[in-house]
Amino acid sequence: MDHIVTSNPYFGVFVLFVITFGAFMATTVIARLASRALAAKDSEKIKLSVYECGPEITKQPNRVSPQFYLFALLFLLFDVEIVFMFPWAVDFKVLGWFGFAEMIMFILLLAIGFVYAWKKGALEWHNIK
Amino acid sequence: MLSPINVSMESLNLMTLAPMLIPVVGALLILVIDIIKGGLHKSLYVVLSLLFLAMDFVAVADSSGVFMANGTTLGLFDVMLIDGLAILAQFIIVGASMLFIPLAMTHKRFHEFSYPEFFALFLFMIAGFQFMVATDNLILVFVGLETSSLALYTLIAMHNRDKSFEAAVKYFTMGALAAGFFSFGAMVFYALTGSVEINKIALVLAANGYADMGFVLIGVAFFLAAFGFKLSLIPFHTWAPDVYEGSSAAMAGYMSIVPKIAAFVVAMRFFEFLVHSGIVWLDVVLYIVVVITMTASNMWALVQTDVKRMLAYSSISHAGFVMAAILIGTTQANAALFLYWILFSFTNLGSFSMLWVSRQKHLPDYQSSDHSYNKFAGMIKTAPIASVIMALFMLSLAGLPPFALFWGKLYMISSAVTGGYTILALIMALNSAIAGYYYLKLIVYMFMKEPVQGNDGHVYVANATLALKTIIGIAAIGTIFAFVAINPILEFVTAFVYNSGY
Amino acid sequence: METLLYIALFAPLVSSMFSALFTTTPKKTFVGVIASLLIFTSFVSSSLLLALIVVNGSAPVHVEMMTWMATGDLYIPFGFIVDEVSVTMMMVVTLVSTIVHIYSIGYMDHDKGFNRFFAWLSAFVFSMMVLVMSDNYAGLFIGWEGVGLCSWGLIGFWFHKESATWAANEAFIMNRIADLGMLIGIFLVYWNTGTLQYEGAFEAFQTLDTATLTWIGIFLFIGAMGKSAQFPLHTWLADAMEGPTPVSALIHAATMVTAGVYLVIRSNELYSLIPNVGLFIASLGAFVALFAASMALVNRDMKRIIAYSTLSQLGYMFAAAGLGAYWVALFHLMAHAFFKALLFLGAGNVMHAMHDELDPFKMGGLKKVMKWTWIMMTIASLALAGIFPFAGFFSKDTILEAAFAEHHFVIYGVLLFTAGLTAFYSFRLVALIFHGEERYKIFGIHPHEAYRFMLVAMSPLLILAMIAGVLQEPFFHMIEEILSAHEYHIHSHTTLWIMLVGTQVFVALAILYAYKKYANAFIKVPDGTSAIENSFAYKLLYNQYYIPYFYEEYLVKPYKEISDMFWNKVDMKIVDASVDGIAGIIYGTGEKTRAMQSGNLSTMLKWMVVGLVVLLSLAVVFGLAARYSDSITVILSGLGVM
Repeated sequence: MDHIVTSNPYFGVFVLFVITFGAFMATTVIARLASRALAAKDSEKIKLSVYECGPEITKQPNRVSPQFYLFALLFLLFDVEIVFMFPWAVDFKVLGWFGFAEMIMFILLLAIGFVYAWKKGALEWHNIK
Repeated sequence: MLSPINVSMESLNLMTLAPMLIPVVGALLILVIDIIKGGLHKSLYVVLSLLFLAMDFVAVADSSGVFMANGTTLGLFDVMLIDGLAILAQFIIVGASMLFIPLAMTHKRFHEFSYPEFFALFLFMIAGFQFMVATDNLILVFVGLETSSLALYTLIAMHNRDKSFEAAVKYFTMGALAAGFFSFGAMVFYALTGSVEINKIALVLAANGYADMGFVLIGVAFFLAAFGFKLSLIPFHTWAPDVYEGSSAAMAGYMSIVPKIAAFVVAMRFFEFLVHSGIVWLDVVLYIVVVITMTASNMWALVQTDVKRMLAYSSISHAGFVMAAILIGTTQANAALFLYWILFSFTNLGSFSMLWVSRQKHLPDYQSSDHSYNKFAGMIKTAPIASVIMALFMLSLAGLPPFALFWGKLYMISSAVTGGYTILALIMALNSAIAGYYYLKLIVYMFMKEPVQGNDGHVYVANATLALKTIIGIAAIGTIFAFVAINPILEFVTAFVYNSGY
Repeated sequence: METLLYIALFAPLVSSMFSALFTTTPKKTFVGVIASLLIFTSFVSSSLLLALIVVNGSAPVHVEMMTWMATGDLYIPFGFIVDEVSVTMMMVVTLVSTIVHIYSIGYMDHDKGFNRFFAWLSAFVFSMMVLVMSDNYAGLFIGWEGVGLCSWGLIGFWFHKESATWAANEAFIMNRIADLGMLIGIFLVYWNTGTLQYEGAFEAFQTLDTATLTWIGIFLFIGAMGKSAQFPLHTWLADAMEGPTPVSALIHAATMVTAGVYLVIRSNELYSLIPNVGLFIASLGAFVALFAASMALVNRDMKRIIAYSTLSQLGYMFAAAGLGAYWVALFHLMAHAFFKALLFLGAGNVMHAMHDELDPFKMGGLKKVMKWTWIMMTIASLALAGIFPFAGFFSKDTILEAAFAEHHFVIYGVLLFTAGLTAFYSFRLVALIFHGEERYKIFGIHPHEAYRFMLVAMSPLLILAMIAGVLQEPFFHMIEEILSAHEYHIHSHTTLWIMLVGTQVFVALAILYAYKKYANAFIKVPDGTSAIENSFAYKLLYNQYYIPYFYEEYLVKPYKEISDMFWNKVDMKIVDASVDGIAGIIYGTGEKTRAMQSGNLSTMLKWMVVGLVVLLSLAVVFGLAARYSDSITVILSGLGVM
C-alpha cells in the first residue's frame, strides 16, 4: 500500500493525536468499568450517610493530597526538560559544539533545581521544609 | 542531511544578555547558599541582592554606553533587542528594585523575609522583567512575563496572611487568563504575518496594507486585554486593589511601579506602530480606556477608607494617565512616559514605604484595617517629621509644584497638547484636580484632626529601621529636589527614546 | 579685584549663616563680634575697591558669576558690577552696617534674640549688597526682595508685640504692592529690549519710543516709591520704627529706603530720556519733603520724628534725581546716611537710658548725664539742618542750587521752606531731650550714658557727619565718569552768596526759635488741654493728615467688606455650592460603581472577559465595516444618510 499522500506534513501527527485521544478515553473507561465490576460492594446506609450538623456538605468525591500535585509538578518539570533534550540528541551533529555547550548549561541549571528540590525535601512524602 | 551549523560568538553578542544573567546568577547563588547552610540572617540576602542589583545596574549603564555609541544592538539570534526603551526601562526596573530590597530590613519580623527563596524569587522576577523589555520577540516577552509573574504571585503569597493568599490566588488566576489572552493575540498575529517579532509583524502588515483588518483588530483586542491586565486598565483592573491590599505595603508600592513599566514598554513597542498606521479603532478604544481608567479609578479612590486601597486606586489612575502617552504616540509623549514613571517611582515607593514603616502586627480597636485613615488622624502632633514627609509624598502625587510628579504631569499634559489631544489634556488636568482631593484628605487627617485616644505616635515608626529610613529619605530627597534634575533627565530620556525610533 | 568683590559680597552672607547657626541658643557675645568682623571685612574690601577705582582710575569691575536662568530666549547671567555708583553705595552700606553691628552688640545686650538679630542683620547687608552690586534688573530685584524680607524680619523682631508684627506686615505688604509695579517695569524692560543687563538695556532704550520709555520709567518708579516710602506709600516707614533702633538706623535711614533713589540713579540713562517723568519725580520729591517735615513738627515720638525727617530727606534726593542732578542725589544719599544713622543711634542711646521711653516731652535736661550723646545728636542735627560746615550743608545746598539753576523755582521754594522746617523740628527734638527741666524725674527714671564702645563705634559717623562736605569735590570728579554730571553754578556770584547766606540765616533762625520755644523751663508734658493742641493744624499734622485713617476707613474696611461679601455670597453660595455639588456627584458615582470591586474572583474574571468580549465585538464590527465599507456606503446613501 502506498503512503497516504497529503499536502500537509503534519497530517501524520494529527492522526496520531486522534488515535492517542481515543486510546486514552478507551483506557480510562475500561479501567473504570473493570474496577466497578471487580470491587466488593458494601452499601450500608449508615456508612454512606453524611455526618454533619447543618447543611449538607458538598460532595467531594476525590480528595487528593496536595503531595500528588507537588509530585506531578516536579515530574512534569523534569519530564518536559527531557522532551526538550530529544531534538537536541537527534540533531546533535548538526548543532555541534554550540548546541553541546548550551545543553550542558541547561542540564547544569536543571541540576541546581533538582538538588534544591531534593534538599528541600520535595521528594519525600509529607516532609517539606 | 542538514549541514552542521556554525555559530560565531561575535554574532551572538552575548553582552546583550549580561544584564539579565546577573540577577539570575545572583538568585542561583542565594539558593545554593541556602542549601549549603540554612538559617542565615536576612541581612546577608538583602546585601547579596543589593550587590547583584548594583552589578545589574552597572551592566545596564554599560549597555546604555554601547547604545549611545552604536545605536540599537541585536543579540542572540536577533532575539534580544537593546534599544533606548529597553535601557530606560531596565534603569527604572533595577533602580526601583534597589530601593525596594532594603525595605526587607524591617524592625518587626515578617514571615516572607525569613525565606532566602524570597530574595531568589525576587531576582528571578527582575530577570523576567528585563527579558520582557529587552526584546521584540513575542515569545520571549511571554517567557519573561511568565517568569516574572509566577515569581511575583509567590512573593505576594509569602506575606503569609489570609488576605495575601487570597490576593495571590486571585492574581494568579486572572494572570493566567491574561497570559492566555496574550498568547492568543500572539497567535493571531503569527497567523496573519508568519512572524513573532514585532518589527517584522509591522513590516508585513504595512506591506499588505492591513488587508485583514478584522483579524488584526481581534489580535489587538486580545493584546489590549492582556496589557490591560498588567497595566490595570479598566475593566481589567479588578485585581489591583485586592492584590495591593493583600500584599505588604512595600510590595504593593513595588508592584505599582516595576511590572507596569515593563508592560508599558511592551505596549509601547506593540501599539506604537499600530497607532501610527492610522487605525481609528485603536485610537478610539485607547482614548476611551485611558479616560475611563483615569476618571473611574479616581472616583473609587475618593470613597476609600483605607489609605493603602486609596493609593492602589490612585496607582491605577496614574497608570491610565501614563497610558495616554501611548495613545498620543509622539516622541515627546513617550519621553514624558519615562520621565513620569521615574518621578512616580520615587514618590509612590516613598509613600508606600511610609505605610510600611507604620505597619503594625496587631490592630487596635479604632482601626478597621491596616492603614485606615483614622490611624493617621492628628499624626502631626505625635510624629511631626513622619507626617510632613507623608504630606510631601501626597502633595507630589497630587502634582503640586515644585514636587516631582508636577513635572511629570506637566510634560505629559503638554505633550498631549502638542500632539493635538487638547480635550484629553483637559481631562487629564481635571483628573489631577480630582485626585488632589483624596490626597489632601489624608493631609487633612494628619494635620487637622485630633489623634485617636491611645495613639501615642509610636505606630508611625513601629517598623522603622535605619535601612527603611534611608530609603524614605532618598525618596523624599528625590521628590523635593526633582526640579534640579528634570532637565538632564528629560534630555537623556528624549535622546534615548528618539534614537530608538519611537 | 574679583576676589575683593566676592569678599565684599559674601562676607555678610557668611556672617548671616554663621549667626543663624546659633539662633536657637542663648545669647553669645562672640556671635555679634564675629558678625561685626565679617561685615568689617566686607567694608575693607569695599574700601579697597573704591581705592582701586578712584586712585588707579581702573575700569569698572564686571564679573559674571554664573548663568542664572537660561530657558529658551531668556538668558540672565548672574553678574556683578562695581563702578563708581555701586562702589559708593557699597561704601555707605558696609560702613554703616559695620558701625550698626558693633553698636548692636551693646544695644541688644539684654535681648533674648541676640543671635537671631545678627543673623537677620547680616542677611540684610548681603541682600543690600546684591541689590547695589547686581549688573542687571533681575539681580537688583532679588536684592530688592531680600532687603524687603529682612526688613520684615527686623521690624517684627520683637514679634511678641502686636504692634511690631502689624508694622512688619504693613511694611511688607506695602512694599509688595510697589514691587508689583517694579516687576511690571522689569518685564517691560525685558519685553522691549530683550535683556535685563543695565548695559544692554540702556543701549536699547535709546532707540525706543518715548511712550514705552515713559511706562517703563513709571513702573520702575512705583517700585522705588514703595521702597523709599514716597507718598502715598509712605505710612509704613513711620510704623517701621517698631523695630529695634539699630535696625531703624541701618535699614530705615541709611540704606534700604535709599534703594529707590539708587534705582532712579542707576537708571539715569532711562530717566534722562523722559524728562517729564523726571519732573514728576522731582515734584513728588519736593512735596514729600514738605509733607513729611510738616508731620515731624508736632509728633511726640522721638523715632517717628526722625523717621519723618528721613522721609523728608528722601524727598530731597528724589527731587535732585528727578531734576537730573543724579550725582547730587547720590551725594546727599551718602551724607544723609552718615548723619541720619548717627541721629538714630543717638536716639537709641537715649531710649536705652530712658527705658524705651519715646516721648521727648518726658525727657529734658539729659545733657548732663549723656554728654557724648548730646554732642553727637546736636552735630547730627546741625548736619541735617544744613549748617556750614557740616555734611548736610554741602549736599542739601547743592540740591537747592540745582533746583534754582534749573529754574524750577517752585520746587526750590518748597525745598527751601522745608529746610527751615527741618531745622526747627530737629532742634525741637534736641531741645526737648537734652535741655530744659529734667522732666523724667517725675517718672522715676535714672538715665545713664551708653557703653563706651558704642560711643566709639558711633564716632566714625560723627566725624563723617562733620567733614563729609570736603568729599564733595573728589566725589564729583569720581562720579562724573559715569553719571552725566555737571556742577550747578549759579551764574551771578551775588545771587549765589545771597542764596547761601540767606539760607543759612533762615535755618539758623529756625534753630534759635526751636531752642527758645522748647529749651525753657516751662515745658510741660502735654496733656491735650493747651490751645495749640486743639488747633486744627496741630491735629491734622499729629494725625499724619489722617492718611492712615483714610487708608483704614476707605481702603481696608471696604476691602474687608467686599471680601466678606464675596465670601458669604459668591464663594459660599455659588462657588462652594457648585464645587460641593460636583464633588457630591463624583463621590456618589464612586460609591455606586464601587460594587464592581466585589472582591469575588469569579466576578473579577467575568469583568475581564466582558472587557475582552466588548473589545472583540467592537473589533468585529469595525472589521466588517471596513471590509464591506463599499456596500455600506451604498446602503447608507440609499437611506439618505450619507
